[in-house]
Amino acid sequence: MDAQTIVFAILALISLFSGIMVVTRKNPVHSILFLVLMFFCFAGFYVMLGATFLAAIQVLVYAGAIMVLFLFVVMMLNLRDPEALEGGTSFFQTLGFVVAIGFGIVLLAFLAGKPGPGVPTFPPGEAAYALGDAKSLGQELFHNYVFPFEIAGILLLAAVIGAVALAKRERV
Amino acid sequence: MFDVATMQISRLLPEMILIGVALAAILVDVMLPKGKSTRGVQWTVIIGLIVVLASTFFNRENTGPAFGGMVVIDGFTMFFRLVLTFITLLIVTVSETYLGSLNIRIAEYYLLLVFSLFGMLLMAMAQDLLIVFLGIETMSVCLYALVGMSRHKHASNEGAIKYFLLGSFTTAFFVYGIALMFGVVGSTNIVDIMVYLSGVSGNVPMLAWASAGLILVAFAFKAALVPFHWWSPDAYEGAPTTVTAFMSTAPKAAAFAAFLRVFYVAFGDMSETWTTVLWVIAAITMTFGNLLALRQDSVKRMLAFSSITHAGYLAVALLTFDQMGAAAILFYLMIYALMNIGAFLVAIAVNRNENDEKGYAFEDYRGLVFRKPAMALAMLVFMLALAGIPPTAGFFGKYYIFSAAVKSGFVGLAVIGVLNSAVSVYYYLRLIVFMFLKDRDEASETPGFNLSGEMVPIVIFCVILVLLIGFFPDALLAVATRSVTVLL
Repeated sequence: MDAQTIVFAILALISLFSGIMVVTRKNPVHSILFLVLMFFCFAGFYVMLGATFLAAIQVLVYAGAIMVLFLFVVMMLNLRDPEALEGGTSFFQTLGFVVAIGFGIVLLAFLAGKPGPGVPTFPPGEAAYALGDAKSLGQELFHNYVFPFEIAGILLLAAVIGAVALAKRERV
Repeated sequence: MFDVATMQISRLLPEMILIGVALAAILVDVMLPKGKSTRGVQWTVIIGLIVVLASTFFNRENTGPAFGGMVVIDGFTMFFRLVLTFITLLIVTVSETYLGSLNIRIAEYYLLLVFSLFGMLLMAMAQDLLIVFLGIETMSVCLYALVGMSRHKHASNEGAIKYFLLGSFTTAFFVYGIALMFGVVGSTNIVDIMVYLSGVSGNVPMLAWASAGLILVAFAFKAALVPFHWWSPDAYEGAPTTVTAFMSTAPKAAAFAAFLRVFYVAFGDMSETWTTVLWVIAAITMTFGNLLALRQDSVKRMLAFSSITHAGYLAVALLTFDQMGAAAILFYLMIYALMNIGAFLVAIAVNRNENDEKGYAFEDYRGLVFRKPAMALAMLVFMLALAGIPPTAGFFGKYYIFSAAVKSGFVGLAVIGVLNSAVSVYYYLRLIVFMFLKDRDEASETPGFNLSGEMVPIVIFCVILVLLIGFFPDALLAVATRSVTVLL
């Protein structure tokens, strides 16, 4: 077992643990903090894959900005009594639990199966790190993926317009 | 390696014009005096959409892939470009007065329609799962907001929230499916996936099956197939009725366009399995939608449930996996748009008070033929067409679908479909009975109509087209058949 495998195992265990904690905590603030922890682990995975720029973005945008928004919303809603949310386990909660477990087992079984030939193989060592930096990512984004990139901009514009339409004061 | 000329930007001229229209509409909204009317924005969008249609028509020879095969402009794309833009044009034309009666005069309504049209056009031309995903998202984000447009109405908010939450969940399914497929094939391009899957024919990796399943769920959700339909009755009922008319036609057409392209081209070699899954889904969808539509007392809700049934018929044509079935889908989507939009428009006109929770009741149609014979006749045509009774276009739509199913050996499913179609006659005819056979005296209580000047020509236009296609279905079928040749 080399160092990389050990680091991966630790990160994987932490992210799995925090993932379970996210969905089982009754207090939404705790859930969000565990989610932050999970995002940090993901950033660790990105670094291990050589995607250093993506890892930085993951920490800045997800663990940083988006989680702050989450916390902000939770505090704005200000649920005084988290216990009140509980109200026993309904049929659908049980069903959802069973379906989630089932889906997990199916995915594990699928992953254990024969992988396709298309699984991307990265050049070893230094070269892999060169693939994941900001420069090569930018080149991909503005060359091969320029069309999806532009559409994503339009998608954001549409989302902003939708949000404004729903939130703005009525014109009397 | 990289060159702007190889991107073939000119093939996307209509889409670029469409974005220009949206931006122009924003400017018009800002520049016009803040009045109560958004007429200026409406006219900008109407003219813009006509230009888009014209540019599609004049640019029709310029076909082929663009942006390195991310999208492809072919006969199939052209068909959906015209149909989707046309539907949006109809809806934009009839919206202004209706929105006024709802007190939602905001320009964003038109902008969201245009942006969702853009998303749908992407879905029709996408040759890469990434583009399909972005198209679905652009379309859906706009629809979520459109459903919630009547902000003071409880039903509207409820529908929007349900649609939004379930829709975001489905997005996760779709992205998961794409990620797994990328893991197998190493590419998200539909042609690459096809090449890979036909290369390993019969020995498809398990991961690819999981991916196809997840993507199937996402499409079934967007097309409102049972059991992924839970959002649709509430969203359809809560939305302003023009939005309902839009949602039940255009996004459904776009969903089936992407469905066809992804499953016929990319997953063509897995067809034996997914046709079996779709067989079950189609059978449940037709039956379930019908059974619920039978019990409705609101015309709007009845049409919402019946649109689930119609999605079931389309699924029957989809699983035939041959050219005839695909052509039947295109044919049916076109005529379904005409008859459904027409029916919703008459429903708007007959409905007396938009803010009444009990609006759109069957009772309102009592004796309609004596009070407004023209309107009743139009509704008669639409109901007969939806029920699939000749000589309307609806008959040929169903005829092509079920004969394609029989020809491909799905006789059992075709029988279920025909039986369902017979059941559906009950609730469509019930409305007609209300219009024709009831006592004339009670009619006098019903107050005036909500019919606006802009609706009349559109309703007449829909009636004429439904009848015309009913008499001469071959022309449209020929166009549909030519459009799907690229798929198979």
